[in-house]
Amino acid sequence: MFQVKAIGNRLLRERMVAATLAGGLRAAVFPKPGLLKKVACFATRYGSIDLVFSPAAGQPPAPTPPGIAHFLEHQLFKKPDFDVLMEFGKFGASSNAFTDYTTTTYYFSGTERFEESLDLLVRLVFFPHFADERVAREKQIIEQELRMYDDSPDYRLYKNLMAALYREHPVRLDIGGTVRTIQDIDRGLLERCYRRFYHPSNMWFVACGDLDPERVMDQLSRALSQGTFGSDGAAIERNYPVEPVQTFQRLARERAVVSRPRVLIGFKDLDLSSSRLLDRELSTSVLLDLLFGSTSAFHQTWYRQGLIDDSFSASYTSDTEFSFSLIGGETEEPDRLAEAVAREIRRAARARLKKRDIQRAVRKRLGRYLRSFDNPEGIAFLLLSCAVRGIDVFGVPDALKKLTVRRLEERLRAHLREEQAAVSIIEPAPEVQRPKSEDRSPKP
Amino acid sequence: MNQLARVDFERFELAEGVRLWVLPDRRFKNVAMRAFVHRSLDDLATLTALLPSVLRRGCRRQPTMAKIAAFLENLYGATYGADVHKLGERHVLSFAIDVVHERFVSGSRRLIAQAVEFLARVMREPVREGKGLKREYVEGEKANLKRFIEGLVNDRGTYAHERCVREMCRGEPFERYEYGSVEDLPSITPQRLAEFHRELWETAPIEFFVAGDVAPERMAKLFGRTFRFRRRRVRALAPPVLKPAPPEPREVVERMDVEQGHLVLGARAGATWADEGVFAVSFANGVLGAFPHSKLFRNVREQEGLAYAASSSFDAAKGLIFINAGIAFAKYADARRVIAEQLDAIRQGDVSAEEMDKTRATLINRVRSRNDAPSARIAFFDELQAYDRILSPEEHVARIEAISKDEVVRAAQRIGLDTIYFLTHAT
Repeated sequence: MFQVKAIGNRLLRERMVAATLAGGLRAAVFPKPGLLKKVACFATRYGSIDLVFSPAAGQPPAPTPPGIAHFLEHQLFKKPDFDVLMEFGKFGASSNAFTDYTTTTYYFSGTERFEESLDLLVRLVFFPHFADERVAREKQIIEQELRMYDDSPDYRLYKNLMAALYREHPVRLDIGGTVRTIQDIDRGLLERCYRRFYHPSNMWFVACGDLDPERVMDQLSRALSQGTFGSDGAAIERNYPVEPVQTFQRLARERAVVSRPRVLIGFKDLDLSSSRLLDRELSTSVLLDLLFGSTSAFHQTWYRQGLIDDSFSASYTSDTEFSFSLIGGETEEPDRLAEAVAREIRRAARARLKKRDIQRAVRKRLGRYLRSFDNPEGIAFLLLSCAVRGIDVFGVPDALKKLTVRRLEERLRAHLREEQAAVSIIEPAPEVQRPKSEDRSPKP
Repeated sequence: MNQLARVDFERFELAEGVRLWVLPDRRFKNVAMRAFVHRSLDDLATLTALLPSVLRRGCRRQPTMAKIAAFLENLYGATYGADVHKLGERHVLSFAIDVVHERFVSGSRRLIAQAVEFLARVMREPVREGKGLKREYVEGEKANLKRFIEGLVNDRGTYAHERCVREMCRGEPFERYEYGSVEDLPSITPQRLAEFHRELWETAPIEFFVAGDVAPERMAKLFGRTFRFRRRRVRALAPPVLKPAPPEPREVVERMDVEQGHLVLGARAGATWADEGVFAVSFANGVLGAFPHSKLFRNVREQEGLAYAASSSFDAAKGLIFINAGIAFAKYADARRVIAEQLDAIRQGDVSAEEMDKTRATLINRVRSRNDAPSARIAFFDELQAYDRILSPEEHVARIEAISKDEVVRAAQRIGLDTIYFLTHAT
């Protein structure tokens, strides 16, 4: 049996029900009466940065090839006797999965036949099947996926930046690995990773929609009791390397088929333990709004002068193990824009932030937060993203109200440091011209 | 009572050719407002694409982007956007505002009214200079639009799609890119843009939408009071052009320094929203490639391992189907063959009861899901009303329920491959 508790927020006028189920699975159901769509997802705290770990308690840590968590995500959809996506189709539901630096998430959404879909989701995640032939074919498919990303100049810009910004931490590697690293992945490795990371004690479950929470929890407990979890659920040693202050490179420059240059400036955050994650995320995001958002003097000046356009943005990505800010966009003069950003940060460090600007930015974030509770998929992913990082999703309004000028200024000095920054630039290849086209159709 | 029957759009005539559609729905914290200004897709495409971005720069009350941004932040992070899209042979200017309902933020009355007033200002009261719109904004946005149009090549998938459209629809209005063409830009003056703005405002059909926890009558009053319309005769819009496919598809191969081959097959679907046959075509497209259980995903990806992405989409406003796959360069012939086999299979009646059931269930799921997403429902409704097809989700589900395998097979037989476009590596 399990204990459920209701957690809520008065401002939002929403509540959810949470419980810890068999094997240590942390589950939450967020009821949305009246909505037709229902969503359920599992997340395991296993992502692209979990490359070195001990296969079982007491054994020495061993490395695995980059891209293996993502490969495993693909592989779980392969079953010996049925096709997962075809089965979801029977219920009219759609299912997908995604892997990021720290987490792999599997989900479905649909308006009908929630119970059957949920049972299927449990089979998808907790009943793995590994066969050499399926692994080989999946390599071809994943190769095309990696090439698809590589064809995107913005993705290359980001990828080059991360490889320049970080020296040691595996967040510098591509989430999907490379065409070369995935060649080393085989059935045995995949099974080993599955056993280690797909234990309920390393996982979360979230459902959202017009649902009865206790019924969902009951069904989930029953379904899980039939799964085999492989490992004993012993704590996982993750062995992340210590990231030094210095970057790997100050500047990464590449030429590609692209209509105009683009630049991305990254700051790695090494000040990860001095405050709680939620406070760090909100204070840094608001700080970036003030310095570079659409109401900032920076934005106003450089938009008018044509150095930046709508593609310009600044954002903060936060986690317990790594965090970074990204600032940039398309521009005719990437070096000048990088310099303007650096100058703006130096200027801001000498000036005072304005309380009124913070209040306005807080108001904006509060309204956006409230509005994000309309859509079941959005709610489920928000809850998971908070849960895996140990954030209380209902704590956001209070945390926003507590932000101060002083706190933001501390963040500016601790995080936006020039020695922890790198710049990535992509410029048009010199020979870029109109692509050549030929008409091969039969002449009439 | 059926859940879908509960909410539907209520319609108000605000002026000649100006309608307000209100969808009262208590379930949401967001209030979504949209305005769609319809015109024929024609030689003024670039002017049409430019206008929303110039209007975004400022209005009389908030004359700079920074002032607009600050106003929206104070409105609890309301979001505002202005854009254009193609809808068959129409070109639609869209204005969108989303704002949190005022009952969730204590002490903040009139958020909704303020959002409507803001929408009226940005649509009607651009910053002027002499007889034209403000020159700095016009010239700045012309430069931005030029870069944007040239930037199409940066997204290989979208680029390949647009190239296929252009090759396939030569000589039809639809061949135009929704953001116009660079060649048109130099001749656009601030004065011309001001005239165009006035003309649209007086003669173009305009559809306003509000969805959220609002009272329809009050919204109608609010819009009527806030927008003061002075209209001339409403411009009639061009009907959709339906063309048959050529006897043999055209093939266009283009070379570029890319990592992956982008294959786009354009087909004539034989039906738009104006035709009853549209539901069978949509069903056939579902069997073919709209879903992970469709033939394309199963065979091109899972069976043959040719692609990561392999799917098809149906543009029912124009009556076209596009099949997309990202493939290894050397697999062009294989991919073409396997894709053609899937379409042929449907034409020859190779559609199992299971495929029919799954496609039906998934299409119905898609209609019902839209019921939870007011902005998607508004966009879909605007597309349908442009073809005088007023269809509730309930009725739409009934149409899908009624489709038989025979209808799917016959619809597939009418789908004709027109243009095969392949973006491949430079040799």
